[in-house]
Amino acid sequence: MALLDVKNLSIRFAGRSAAEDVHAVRGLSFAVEAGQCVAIVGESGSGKSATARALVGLAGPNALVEADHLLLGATNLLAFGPRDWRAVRGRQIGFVLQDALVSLDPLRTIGAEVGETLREHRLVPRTGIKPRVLELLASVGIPDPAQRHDQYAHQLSGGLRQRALIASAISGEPGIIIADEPTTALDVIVQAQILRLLSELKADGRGLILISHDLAVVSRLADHIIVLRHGEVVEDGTPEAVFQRPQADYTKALLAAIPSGRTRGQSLSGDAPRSAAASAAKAAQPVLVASGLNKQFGQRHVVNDVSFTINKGETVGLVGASGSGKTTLARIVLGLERPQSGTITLNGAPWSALPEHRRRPLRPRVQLVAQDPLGSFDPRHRVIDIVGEALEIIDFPAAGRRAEILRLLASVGLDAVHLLRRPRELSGGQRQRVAIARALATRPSVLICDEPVSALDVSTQAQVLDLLAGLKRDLELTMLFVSHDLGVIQHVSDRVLVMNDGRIVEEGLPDIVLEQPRHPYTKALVEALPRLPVG
Amino acid sequence: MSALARFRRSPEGVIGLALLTVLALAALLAPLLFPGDPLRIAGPPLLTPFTDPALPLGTDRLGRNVLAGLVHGARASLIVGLAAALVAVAIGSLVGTLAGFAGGLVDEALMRVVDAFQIVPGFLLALAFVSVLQPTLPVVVTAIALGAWTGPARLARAEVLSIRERDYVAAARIIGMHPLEIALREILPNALPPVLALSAVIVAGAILTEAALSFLGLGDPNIVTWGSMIAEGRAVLRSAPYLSIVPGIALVLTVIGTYLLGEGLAAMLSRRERQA
Repeated sequence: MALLDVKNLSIRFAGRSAAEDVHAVRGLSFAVEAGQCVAIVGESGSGKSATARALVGLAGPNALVEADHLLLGATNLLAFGPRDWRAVRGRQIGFVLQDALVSLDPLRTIGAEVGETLREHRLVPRTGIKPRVLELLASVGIPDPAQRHDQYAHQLSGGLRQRALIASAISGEPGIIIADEPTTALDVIVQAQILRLLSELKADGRGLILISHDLAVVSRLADHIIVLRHGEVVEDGTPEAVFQRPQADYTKALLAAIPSGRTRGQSLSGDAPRSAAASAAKAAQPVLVASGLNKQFGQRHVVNDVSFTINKGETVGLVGASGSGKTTLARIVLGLERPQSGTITLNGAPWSALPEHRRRPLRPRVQLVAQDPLGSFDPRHRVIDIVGEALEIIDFPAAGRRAEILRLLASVGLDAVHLLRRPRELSGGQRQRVAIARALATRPSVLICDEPVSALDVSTQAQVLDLLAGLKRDLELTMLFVSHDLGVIQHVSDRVLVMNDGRIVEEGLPDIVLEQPRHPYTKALVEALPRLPVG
Repeated sequence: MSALARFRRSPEGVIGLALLTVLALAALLAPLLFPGDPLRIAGPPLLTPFTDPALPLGTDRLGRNVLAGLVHGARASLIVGLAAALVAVAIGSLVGTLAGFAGGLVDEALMRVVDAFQIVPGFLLALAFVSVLQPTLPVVVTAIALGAWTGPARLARAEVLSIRERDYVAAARIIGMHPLEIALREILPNALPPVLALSAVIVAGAILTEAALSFLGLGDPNIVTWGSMIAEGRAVLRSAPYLSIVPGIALVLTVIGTYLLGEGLAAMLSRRERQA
């Protein structure tokens, strides 16, 4: 018998009238067997998280959960009240949340947090809690459990926090573990470790439900993949079937949208077919030259003797794990941080060495597209103000400003309808388009893209990457593209810099660096990258 | 949902707004409703309320119309309250924004000035200020504002400290905006909502301080205020308590109205914050 059997599950959020009801999920059926993994994949708004929460009775007070049956072993979960759910959570179903920093109480030690389930369900006598917690911490691969036991969440790295959360989820020895985007906040190497840990749990005979937006992440673990879109099941099958013979157009588009080395020069979103011709090699004309940059925060050497050149019309990819110093490097290039030593020149003239009041008039030449577009807009401003402000700075004549704003918006695929919208009335992809339009308004010599697509869904990411590729070709944009995602880097870059612990450890053509890495760190990075099992 | 719709859905705000609207109308229409000097003699002294239809709230010891005084007094209370709060919020948010944005020595210096004002009780400061200078309306307003600007200054500084680290401030720097322009165009407007919510409390406090100053005889002697009316009635508190009670009720209603309006504004502004 299946550990968990879901038949025709639907989740509805009641609106003010029946017509306003929001159907988060419709007609979802699956069964979880011991030692098996069911993966539910979808983009934001697909209903995957609502499903995960409904399975532990946390769908929320105005959610209506209906199903033909929802069986945990032989128990009917549909008839459950709050008290019954409490007995199930932690004991029979463990739940691993996405962001370990906010999921762990900052005022309690890791030991207290992990021991919570044991205490709550009185699984072991009081004196037995600590030894059991140490055992659990060791079993999820946390080094030196005795020391970690008494530390707080902020003293642990992202990977260790995620391990602690998993330890807490398995502490009641539940038969089923639901992991909702367990690796999304982590970088590739740590992600690979967490995925290995989850596969060990699966091998132990637990049933695993893995929720993710990333097909590549689930591809190694899943025995059964369900692709959700707007709450509907669009694809349902074994990984082999889903990856080799996808049935739904949506799945095909989703698979095609994943950037990698193979997709370079090609459209990802499929709506703008382009010639695959790579940019012809031209005489290198250096635009931005960094030499011997150093930056220390206290004892930490965040940027350590970094030198590189970006030539006109070239996209240089900067890849590294979180904490590798790539964001600080981007801030130095932007002139937001001052390097302790080393210089940056822009078009042959000094840049980083300038005092602020002399750099300010030149600032329009180096522009940024940030990771979180919502945060990078003044919440009170409308699109017209956001782009207009940049034009005002470069003294663009007021008479032609509106036309110029429309031209810029058109170049990023937006139109007059969006002029009066405020950032929070736009979708994630539209916001990033506005951010690009603002960055282009001042006709910069260099565009810095700091994780510009990390917060976006795969299909939106594909559109934004296509947009940037088109702009690069049409405007001969010079870009520094910072990302932790090797696939994205390989897709967009003409040249790649790999950064680790503040140093550039490897540099070269993307295919060579990422297909035949020489430096051990690059090797580890490439090996950890989840890949789709497609030919 | 628009800000107005959010405001309308908070019952406190609507009640407060209604109370203050009535009061503001009375203050605005005072010269039409009761033309002439409210301090002139209008009837026999110490007339009990509700006995003469021409003088519905009676008269005081000198035979002055209590209702006329009440309506004219609303002007003084509202003008002093609003003006003092306006001055306090303007000075406070400017000082706070500069301190928070500039940081370093400027911040230290400005915040020590704030400390200096904060350790003196606001009412004592106003008392000393008014008794040294002439008790005219501008002096009273300044005196009250002196004790009230430190709250907005601290709040604005705290907001600015958090806002200046946000991405859109970095974005403004990147396009090459001047720091002063960043402070006034990007930071100050976004730091204001909580300060504005606090301003209702300041208005209420200013109205009370003004009444207290008048009660002690430190108000402008040429205009009627509720404080001076209460003080006037104090001498005959046993025989004609209504002379103190009536302006007292007006004062209570005004302060309650202001607080309620402030609640409504806070609800409206905080919900916008959360959405952002």
